[in-house]
Amino acid sequence: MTTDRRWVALALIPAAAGVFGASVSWAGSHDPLAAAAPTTVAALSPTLDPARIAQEQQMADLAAQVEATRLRIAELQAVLAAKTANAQVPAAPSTQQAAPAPARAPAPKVQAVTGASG
Amino acid sequence: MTETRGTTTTSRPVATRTLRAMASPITLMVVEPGPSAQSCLDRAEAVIRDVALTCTRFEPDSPLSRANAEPDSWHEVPATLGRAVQEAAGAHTSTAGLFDPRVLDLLLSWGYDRALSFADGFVHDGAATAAKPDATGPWRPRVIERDGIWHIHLGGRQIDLGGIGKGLAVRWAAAELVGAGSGFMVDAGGDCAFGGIGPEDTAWNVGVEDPAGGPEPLLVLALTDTGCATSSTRRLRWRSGGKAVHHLVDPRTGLPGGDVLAAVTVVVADPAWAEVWTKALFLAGAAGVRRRAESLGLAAAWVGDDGVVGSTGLLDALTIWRPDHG
Repeated sequence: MTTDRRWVALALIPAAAGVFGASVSWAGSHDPLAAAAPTTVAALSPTLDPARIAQEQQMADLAAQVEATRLRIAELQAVLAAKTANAQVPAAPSTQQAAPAPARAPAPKVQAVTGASG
Repeated sequence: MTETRGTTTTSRPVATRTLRAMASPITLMVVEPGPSAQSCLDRAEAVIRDVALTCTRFEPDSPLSRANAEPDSWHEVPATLGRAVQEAAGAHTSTAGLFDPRVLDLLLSWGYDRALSFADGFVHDGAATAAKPDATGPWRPRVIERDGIWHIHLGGRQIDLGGIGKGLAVRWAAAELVGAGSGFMVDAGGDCAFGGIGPEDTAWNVGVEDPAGGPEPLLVLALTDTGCATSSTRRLRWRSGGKAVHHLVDPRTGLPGGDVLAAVTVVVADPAWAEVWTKALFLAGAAGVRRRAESLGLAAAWVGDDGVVGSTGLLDALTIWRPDHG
């Protein structure tokens, strides 16, 4: 019986060694810190077309301008809203202020104008 | 191009016709038009177009241009031109020579030899400024009418009938509109005639233009059964030989007249004479315009280059609005 156990143990050594080796090999190929394996650059990078690059740059510039304009519009709308709000608030009466001048009567409707001709 | 339309947007219905002639927009209006209004408007328009074609110096084949080409000769001319020369001669005498259609020589030498574009109020022209004109003396044209045939002799100098021609066109067109309705107006820009009641159940309200180009009139007048005219340097001014010139020439000096004045308006019964008197007053300059207007008994207003408005008492009586008084 003892002899049988010995033979089984001896028989399992190569198997264990194989399992260990395979594990080490798997771990080596799955190291999360390991750099990605270099691949074929030509297969992943498209051909560099200068015209396309320029076009893309132009579109990016235009998009930036649109965004800047949108921001400017928003600023102006805010200023307009503030001024409108201020205009609707009547000024506090002040005894120091002179009486406002009477509103000037607008010119009556005319049927003709005499002036330079020619 | 002519446009005629009727409208009731005012208090009273009106028939209006607009056209362009004599380098100006023309408006003819009849208030409460009667059955004959359209034929009256037709005749008034025909009168204006006839004067424009006959008395223009900008068309080489016009009767006036043909007479100007040989001012030392007699010419058979249409009645319109014969009458216009007759009126111009009378104006020359009545204004002691201040109204003088012979200033055409100067205008031509300053480059005003065509219907220049004055839309922007200023024209640069390469013509040299002229020397002082020949000594003139009184203008003595001769006009003979016999059996409806008119002959004129211009007295040796070519003439410009631009201003008085427009005034006469307004006078004669207004005569065609009498009786066409309860009121009428002929508006040729600076020169106007008004009859009866305006479309707002009042007199005709007439604005006096700001020669500086401001949008608001300087005065508003209430006029009826009268003519009015304005002479102004606002549009007809340009540069010649490096000097600023305008069309209101002083025949005594041969130079642009009306020292530091920008415009003069006169209200008198006849639109042609209103035109004549505006020129005579303008040449008095800012310093003398009031005295001359009052001595002539004219309803007149004037505007200086500084924008200050002056007027005679007769014109004040016609004024219903001014900016400072409302």
